[in-house]
Amino acid sequence: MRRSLRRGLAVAAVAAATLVATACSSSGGGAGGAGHSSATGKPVAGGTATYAMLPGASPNYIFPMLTAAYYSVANIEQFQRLSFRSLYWIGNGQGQPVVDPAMSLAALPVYSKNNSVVTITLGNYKWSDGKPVTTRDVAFWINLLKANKSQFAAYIPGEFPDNLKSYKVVNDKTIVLTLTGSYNPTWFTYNQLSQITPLPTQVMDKTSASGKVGDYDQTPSGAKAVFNFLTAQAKDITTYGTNPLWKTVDGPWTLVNYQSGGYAKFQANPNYAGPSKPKLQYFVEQPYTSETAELNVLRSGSTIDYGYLPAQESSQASMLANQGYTTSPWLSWGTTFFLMNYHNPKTGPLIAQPYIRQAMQSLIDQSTFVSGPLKGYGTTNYGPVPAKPSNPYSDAYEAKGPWPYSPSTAVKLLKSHGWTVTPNGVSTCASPGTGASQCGKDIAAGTKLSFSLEYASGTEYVTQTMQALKSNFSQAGIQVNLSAQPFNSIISLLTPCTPAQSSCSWQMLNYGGGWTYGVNPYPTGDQLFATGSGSNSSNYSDPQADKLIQATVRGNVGLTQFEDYLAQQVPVLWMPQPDYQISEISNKLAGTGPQSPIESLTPENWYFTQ
Amino acid sequence: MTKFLLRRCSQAVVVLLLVSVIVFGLLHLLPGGPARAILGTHATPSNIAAFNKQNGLDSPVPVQYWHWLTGVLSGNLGFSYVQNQSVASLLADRLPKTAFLAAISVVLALLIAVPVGFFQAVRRNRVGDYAITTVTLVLYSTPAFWIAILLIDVLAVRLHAVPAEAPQGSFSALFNDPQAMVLPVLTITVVTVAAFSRYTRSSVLDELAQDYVRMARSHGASHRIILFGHVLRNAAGPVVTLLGLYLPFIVSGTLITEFVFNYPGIGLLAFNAATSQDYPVMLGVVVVVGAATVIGSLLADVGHALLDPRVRVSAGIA
Repeated sequence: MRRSLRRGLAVAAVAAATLVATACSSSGGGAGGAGHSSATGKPVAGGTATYAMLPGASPNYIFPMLTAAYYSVANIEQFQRLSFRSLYWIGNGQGQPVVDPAMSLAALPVYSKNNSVVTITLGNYKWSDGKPVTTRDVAFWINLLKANKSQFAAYIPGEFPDNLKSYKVVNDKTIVLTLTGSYNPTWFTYNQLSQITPLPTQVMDKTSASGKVGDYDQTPSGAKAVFNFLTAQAKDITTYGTNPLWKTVDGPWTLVNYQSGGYAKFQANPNYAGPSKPKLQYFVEQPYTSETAELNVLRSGSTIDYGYLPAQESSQASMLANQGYTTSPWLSWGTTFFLMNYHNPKTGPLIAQPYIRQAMQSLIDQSTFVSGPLKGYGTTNYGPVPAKPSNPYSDAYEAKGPWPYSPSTAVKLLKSHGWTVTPNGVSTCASPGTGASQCGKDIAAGTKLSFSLEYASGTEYVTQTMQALKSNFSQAGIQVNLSAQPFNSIISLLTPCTPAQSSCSWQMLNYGGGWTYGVNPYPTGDQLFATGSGSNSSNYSDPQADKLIQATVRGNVGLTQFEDYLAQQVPVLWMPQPDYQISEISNKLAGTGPQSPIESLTPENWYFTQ
Repeated sequence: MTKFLLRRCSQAVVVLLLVSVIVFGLLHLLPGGPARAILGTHATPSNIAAFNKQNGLDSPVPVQYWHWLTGVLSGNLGFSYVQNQSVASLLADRLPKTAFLAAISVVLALLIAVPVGFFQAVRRNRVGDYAITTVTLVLYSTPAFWIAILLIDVLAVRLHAVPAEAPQGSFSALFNDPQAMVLPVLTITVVTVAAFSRYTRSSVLDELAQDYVRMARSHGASHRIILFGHVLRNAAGPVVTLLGLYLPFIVSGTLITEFVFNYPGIGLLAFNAATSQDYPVMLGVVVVVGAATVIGSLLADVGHALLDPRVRVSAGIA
């Protein structure tokens, strides 16, 4: 697992808003969301399909080795990967977040020498200029990354390419990576190798627009120069549709027109060698700056073939059905939660007690939140590994949740640890000390079970759930003082801190999102829950959790122990996982399902029907 | 006149500087900061520090302002990471679209509002005046977004007569798909007609009550000569002033319409910049809107002075 995609998370907040409301379908489904329209007619070759982008989530960066400012679902999964395919494709035909070998550029890697050597063999893919995709193109990516790793948004110190000791190009099809140690093959394939995106050396290995193509990437200084050149070119968005750099692609689509604001028109790549050749002639991504504008276009029954229904307009679903659209929830591969600050000088000692966290988790009525504020478009979520979309990682213990809604359990937990529970009031510690039946370390007698909770304003779902939560918590005398703040204010606090820092004054924080497993689909907790990790904003630290996390990365064990432990320990307060969006798909458009759990697009599978 | 213009332009420069200082300061008081807004919820402290250093955001605010100001004076309004484009190119792309939308709408509105206002003033307190007054008051007091939604519902959703979405793409797309311009133009026109016709009516009524009108009548001047030879010119003054003050509206006031119709203009650019804490774009828009306000006010004064000799004398322009 790595950092969540920026826009993805921004959208998660919006998604909460997008979590719509029509009761006509549920998000049950096993996969990322059925995503099938009601198209039944005879296939028609060609045509242009228009996909409506979510507000604030339009693509604006084409070079796959992107910097942090452009790290988003819209750029990676819904733009770059239409043209530039990664080594391993995540999302299979059942909509599960697993590698799809048929869609991948390479065969599944072979691990040897105690999982410290990886052999990758490429398939028979071609660039759009007719040249084969070779290991030289893979090495080009690795060389650029090694020389510019601090610039790459997905780079995490200690991980790829730091954990790459050396590589050897055996021939055009085979490359061998020697790692610095043993790694979990699943983690390495999913969270490291799946980010490698071969680039066309014959076009991109240059340092200026007028310069010749060479082997510049093979020295660190040359690789820096190439990276700087390509980055500068990627900042000239007016040339996206014409710049030859972006015209040589191994994916099914070539960008032919791009407008400021995110409008993108792709043409089918006739040389695409993947399993599913494009049936459409063009694919258009249409940006919408407001959900209202997008809905108006849907209601008028024109131009959009694949759109979405905004949250606040749930009553429009039946009308859209009459306009020829099928509603289909799109499930997201991620987990939602809100944070508790373990380093807050006042409430940190309270939060440090697992039984208090477990009591609070027992007071979160997730089923009601799903059926209420989320209007059925979400799933209950009790741990770091989502139960849905269906996947091979989640287990029954976590899916069911060790701490489901149970006010009596919460009261029991508090009482058994020396608290005087005052429902609808404020519970207080009556038995200080570190014994099994006492309040715990650094909790004095008379300490009140009271917290401030700052949440992101502007999203109806988040506001409703926070109000309900306050009420639920009061059943066990846990006082929560709510404070709505602008989204940007909330996220400004998302930084690991020490108790002495003024930035550590927050106690609980809910920005309306959580963590998406987009480009790092194997849901380990190395970046979020490991002690001292960069995105561990709640300052959580548990040696046992660290050990289990480490085992999922460096060992060869599955996720079961890790996910069950974190579900049981409640390092953050788990909340229902909202659907990514409620798709509205034209009944004339077929081949759209299943919707990708990592929110990527595969319009090469789409076709119109008569 | 030259002295007058120089004085007004000097004032304009001072006003713009003050506006930019205030806005720059206020933007930096906003919580969160641009780095977190751009890099997202899980950016690490080192990510944020690197971004701030790379973009000069780790300097004191006065230093940042000075860098920004010197950049503006050399034509560099900054770079938008949110849009991955320079602010100047964004404004150059969006400003013509908004200007085009607003110009068509305002011209149409004037063509309708001036005769309507005239008609009402001449037929004041009669059935026609009451009817039009009622309609214009209703339109004047109706929010633009509501008018837009009604128009969409009737003309796009129910009748399928015109698209619900404005033309997308480059500036030329506005001409390639004129049908898609109908609803945005109609929305602004309807709102503007209501305002302009009210002003025209009041202005003409004021003029009709002037002594020179009675004098002209007593000298046997025809109704037509009085109206179009004397009253029209004098009544145009306030309307011209209003028109000048509409210039900032032309730049930014179409926001609601652009929002509803997904029209890629400067109003929408400003809205998106505000919601994504895109500081460079917000500052760029403020500069442009501020300049438009000052220029509009200046043009209104000059226009009024040209139409009314009394203004020229009192302002020492003649």
